Amino acid sequence: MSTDLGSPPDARISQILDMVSHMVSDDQAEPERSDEQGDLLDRIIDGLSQASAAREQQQAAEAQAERQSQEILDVMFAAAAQDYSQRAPVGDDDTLLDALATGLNMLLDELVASQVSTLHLQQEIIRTQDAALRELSTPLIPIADQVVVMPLIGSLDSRRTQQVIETLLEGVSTLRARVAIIDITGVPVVDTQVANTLVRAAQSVKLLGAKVILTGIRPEVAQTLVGLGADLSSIITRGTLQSGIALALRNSR
Amino acid sequence: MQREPVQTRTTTIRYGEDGILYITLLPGAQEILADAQENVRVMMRLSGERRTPLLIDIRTIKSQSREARDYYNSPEALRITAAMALLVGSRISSLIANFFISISAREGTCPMRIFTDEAEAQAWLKGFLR
Repeated sequence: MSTDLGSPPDARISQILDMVSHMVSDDQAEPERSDEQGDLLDRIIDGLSQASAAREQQQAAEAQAERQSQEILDVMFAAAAQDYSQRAPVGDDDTLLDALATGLNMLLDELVASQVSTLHLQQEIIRTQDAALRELSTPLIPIADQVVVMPLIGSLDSRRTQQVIETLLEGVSTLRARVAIIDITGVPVVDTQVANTLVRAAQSVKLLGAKVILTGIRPEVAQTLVGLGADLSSIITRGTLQSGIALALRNSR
Repeated sequence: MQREPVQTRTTTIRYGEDGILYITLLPGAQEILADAQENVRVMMRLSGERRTPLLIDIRTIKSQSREARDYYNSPEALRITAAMALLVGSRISSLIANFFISISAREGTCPMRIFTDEAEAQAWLKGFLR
């Protein structure tokens, strides 16, 4: 490119310089006017390279913002799918996206803590209810001096049968009972497990020096017990709770 | 009473001549529970375990874990706090301060306010000096 330093600068060159300066920075002061056309071209090149660098910087920032926005969205999508383990990355520039990411992370922290707290509360409620239910499911009622009754209602699973034995033994020991009546009128199904529980309970109670009277044996239950071949020799049986109580009261005198 | 500033992993803490305890978060500080516990220990030592107004400059904080936030809000940590002024500047610090205050308000702890001007914060805190 040749320049005639003697001729006045082309007005269009000044116009380009103004535009470039404007692109580089809005705040930049008016470019110095120079009579030297060569200087003008140098300044245009300088301005263009600054504009190019600024544009690159801007593009990089936009790409970074795009990435961060996507990462924040990913965390939100995960949270919407009830996965609260992810956290949004927070940059060092205190941008609006950094603040959004910080807020989102803090909300997720609170949400997780609240969930854990609710879960603990639920587990505590379940434990308390379970304990209350177990107590209610195996009540031991003292009906006379040294006579206790345990009316069983509902089916007996392995945990409940264990509870029956524990409550019975503890009650007999604490109340110094001589007779314990187990009433199974309310037990719908008597299978091997139930029969074995009754036998084990009777044998254990016997070791404490007391007797067990089994009442409420319905005809079909009697058939089942015989069919199962359960050894009920250690247990006194009666058809009804009433007859069982009468026998117990006689024996306890 | 110790007047020299103490630097912890995340803060500089000093007891001012004006009776205010100044806690300044270091640039880019990311506070976790251990930091909160250490800072409170230093605050207690510098204040002689007396109830003191706190000016906490969190303008350059980057993050604060929930555990740290909870600890700062615990009765143990607030035992020495007569009032708390949170000095904010950045978007993140404003967010963290608002979060902190909203949780504290829920639990009704001690007087707390957010400031962007240190002089205003000092003036407010002086009302809590004994």
